[in-house]
Amino acid sequence: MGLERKVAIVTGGAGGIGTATIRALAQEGVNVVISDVNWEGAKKLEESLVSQGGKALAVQTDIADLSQVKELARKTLSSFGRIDILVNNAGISPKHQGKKRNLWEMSVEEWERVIDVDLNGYFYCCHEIVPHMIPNGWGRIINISSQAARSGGQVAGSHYTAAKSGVLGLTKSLAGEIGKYGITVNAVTPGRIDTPIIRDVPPEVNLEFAKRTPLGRLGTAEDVAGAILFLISDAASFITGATIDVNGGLGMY
Amino acid sequence: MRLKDKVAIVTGAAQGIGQGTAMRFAREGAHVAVCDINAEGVKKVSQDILALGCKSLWFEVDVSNTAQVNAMVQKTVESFGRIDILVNNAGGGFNLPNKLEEITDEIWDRVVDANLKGTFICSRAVAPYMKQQKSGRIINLSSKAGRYGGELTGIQYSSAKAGVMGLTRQLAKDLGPFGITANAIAPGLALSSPRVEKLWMERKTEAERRAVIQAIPLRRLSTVEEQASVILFLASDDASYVSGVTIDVNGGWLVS
Repeated sequence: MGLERKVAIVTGGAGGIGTATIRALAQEGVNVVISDVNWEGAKKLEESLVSQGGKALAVQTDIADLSQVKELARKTLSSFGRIDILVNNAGISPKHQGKKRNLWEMSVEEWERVIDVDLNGYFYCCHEIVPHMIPNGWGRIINISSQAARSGGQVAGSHYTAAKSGVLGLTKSLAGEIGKYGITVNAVTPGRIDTPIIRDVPPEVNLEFAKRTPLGRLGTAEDVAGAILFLISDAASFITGATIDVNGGLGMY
Repeated sequence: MRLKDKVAIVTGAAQGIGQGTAMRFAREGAHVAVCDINAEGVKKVSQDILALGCKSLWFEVDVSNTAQVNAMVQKTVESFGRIDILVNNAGGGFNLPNKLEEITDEIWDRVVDANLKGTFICSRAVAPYMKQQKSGRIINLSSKAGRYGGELTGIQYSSAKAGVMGLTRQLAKDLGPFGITANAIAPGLALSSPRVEKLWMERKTEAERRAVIQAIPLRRLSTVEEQASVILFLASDDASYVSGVTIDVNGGWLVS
């Protein structure tokens, strides 16, 4: 794929989609930075990759905190010397006894926390990392949005849907600003993907999603990682500002 | 080799994106049946595929002619045993008038038949085989014109290409339960053949051409390979959960 020795940061790297993406990147010889609030999970993945001969670095980061994002960029540069690829994937989608809260019933604090992580966190990461990509004349930014941004969240709350919609706007806007430096910015909108984050609802909810999906199943983390790797590869060199749905046909836009 | 021993049909393969896709598939190990209304051109592409050590067949086919399409699909299955991938690429604007008042019924029919009806006829022809296999990939060529209007083409082309997106979604819905995905790509302007290059030079002044490029964040038009590589992604295992989508391959046109 021609990605050997490139340097990638994946936020939410210890989660389902993050881990699948990091493993796929490492397979291609990319030096990976596993950013996550979950320090143990990130460290375990780092150790696993290093024991297989890969180059990996775990960095504990709450992306909603600008100073921690600055630290993420600094540590990446001091370990690997450059940043070529940013996969903005970290996110939260709070539930209460397996259910979202309606907009008028959620606390302002919950709204703010979700916007802080799912939207502001993406901005902070782009803001701190883009200046290091521009001099290279090549870069890839992949923003993980959600089908909720396309169709409204049925399971996720209004804060999550609003943040993920914001991510699509940020993607297009940044793509327009940065294309001339050889950097592409694209979004992936996963449907119902079978990872730990969706197991916070009763199993029958997910079963119902699978039934309604034309391909008849939930997605896997690898399904999403496949689209992310494609957008990073040279095969996607003329794609920017685009959104790719990975949802088995559950929603078509 | 991402398509080792897969069987593909690529329509409109004598030149441009169709040719590029057929050759790319062959380099990935696929056996490729190619068709075009230009028999000489498509025969040459077929020979190039054979030279890579893959199997190939070529057909002189008008994709809006059901009998010709059905015969092609039947012969392909007889020869290669299956059909894994259909790329509905045949179409185009045919260098016809674009001003609304000058678009005759015949011009409308010719463009819509080639771009939209042909996609329907070819998809219908392969569906029974793909259903039986419980697997298949259909990849349709829409266009930026179907989303935002075209630079060198008129409403007949934009309408047909917008129709291709609707056709793609319904195909994805109807064929998904059989393990078949249907997707489209929407290329921006690619100088994919001498014919398109000529139109680009004739129909646009230098200032207009510059303005078009300036509106593209990546500041250039695409190559054939950059379209073929996205079609390859949609045909590959990496896209197994992607269905019903239209991927814009336009360098970010209109986002800036």
